[in-house]
Amino acid sequence: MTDKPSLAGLAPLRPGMFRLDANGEPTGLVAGRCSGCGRVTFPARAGCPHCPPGTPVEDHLLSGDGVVYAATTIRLPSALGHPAPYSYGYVDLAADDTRIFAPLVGEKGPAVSVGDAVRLVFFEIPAKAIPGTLGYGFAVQESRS
Amino acid sequence: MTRSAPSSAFVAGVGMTAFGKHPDRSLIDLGVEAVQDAMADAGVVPRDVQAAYCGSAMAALVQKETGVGQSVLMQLGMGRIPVVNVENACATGATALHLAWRDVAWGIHDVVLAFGVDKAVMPKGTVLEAGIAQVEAQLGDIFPGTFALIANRHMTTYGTTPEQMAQVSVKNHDNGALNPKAQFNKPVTLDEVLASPMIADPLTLFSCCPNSDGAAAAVVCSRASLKARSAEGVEIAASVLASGDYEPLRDMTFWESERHCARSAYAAAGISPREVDLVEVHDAFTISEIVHCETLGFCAAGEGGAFTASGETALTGSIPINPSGGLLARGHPPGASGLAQIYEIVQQLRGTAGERQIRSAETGLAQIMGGNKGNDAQACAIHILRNTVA
Repeated sequence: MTDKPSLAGLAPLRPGMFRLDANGEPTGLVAGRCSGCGRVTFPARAGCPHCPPGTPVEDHLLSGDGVVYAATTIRLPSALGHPAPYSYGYVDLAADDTRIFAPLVGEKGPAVSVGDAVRLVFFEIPAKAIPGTLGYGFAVQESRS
Repeated sequence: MTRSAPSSAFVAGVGMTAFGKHPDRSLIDLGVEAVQDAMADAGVVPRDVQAAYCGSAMAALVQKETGVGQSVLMQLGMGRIPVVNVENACATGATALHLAWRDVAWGIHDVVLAFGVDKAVMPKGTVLEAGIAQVEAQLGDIFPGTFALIANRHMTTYGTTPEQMAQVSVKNHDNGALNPKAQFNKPVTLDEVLASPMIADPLTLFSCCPNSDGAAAAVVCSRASLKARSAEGVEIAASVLASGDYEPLRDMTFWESERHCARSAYAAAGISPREVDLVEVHDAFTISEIVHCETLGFCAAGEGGAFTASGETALTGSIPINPSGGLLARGHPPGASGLAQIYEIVQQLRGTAGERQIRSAETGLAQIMGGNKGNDAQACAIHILRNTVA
């Protein structure tokens, strides 16, 4: 058991984006799943372009295991004050048959590569302009030699 | 199903300021210069203009200024006409032109003005705050990064190299050195591009276009209007504006919005890529031009890097791309860039491009895109211009 700081009480990046436990700690990401065709979008979209208008989009808990589809490392602070260097990209979630945008966290520094196995993590977004905001990312699971 | 336009529309005149840093000039002042130049070039006077579209991607954000179109036209004594202010990220200027084209091609007006202006040069140490309300931006996404992800996929899938990408910047700086309106008039070497500071792996500083100040304008006229004034124009053979499908699992080695836009534009013009003589594309980052080469059909998917390195896209190559220097060297005021591309193509088709002149240029294509949504563009615009007897 590691001493992780509590994330309960942080403002979610978007309303309804996170599944929280009884203590208010995040345990998962909530996507949208079209009740017609099953397609998953994150963040959840209001409607599905492949199904008749009005087909409900239901809450869908994303799996926490992914594979990096694309990655980059940013070498200067963002307009919102994310401290550099930091990495992000797109992560394939095979169990959900979708791909999502995500910050990427490496074992040593931010280096993350296409094909890396990654797991969902939660943290306070380190951007000066939006303090106290609950965010998410994916962390590298396996050592790369 | 989109119906095809019933009549032809022509670019009768173009104007633009020098692009670069204009700390002592206002947005309005820059806009006035470009509009005056375009009207003089077209041989029209203020009372001829029946409608106007003004693009500015940044004015509301950076200068806290709205209604830029009316502010510019008021300086020129042009009132009463319908004026619409347009924002469509980096495709803003091209969107203004598309709207002007619609008015003329669909017979609503005979003379319509499209112009775009931005002052996007930021004080040292500050960055543009475009798009920061989006989820991705709040998680750390910045524009160079979205293009770096495309580069990452292109390198992974096709083996495109940093040297091939850097070659785009070298070529466009060579072209910019021949363009008096360009922000950068000095060549750069391959080593300088590769050794410049890393911004978003694998894109270095000289792989990224600058934020610039500037304005550009075009006057769009009907055939009847040209005839009445015994004037000449360059025909707008296609004007297409598109957005993406934003499918989560799309292939990120290219932009779906651009593929869709390109197919529509070639169909509208009734031509194939082989019939295009010169191209201006949205080289906001080096990788972009490589991808555009492929998606616009000048080489096969995955071959854009080798195609660029072979020299085919240089001024003397088989399909010159960004003879103006592109966004990388001409500079990039987002509201004006789409119209600056039109300025360049019109000069080339008229044979007035000076040292940059391409031989036997009859058909030119301009592609620009802007914004980021699901790592596709929010907007993509393609215009095909050609010399025809009006």
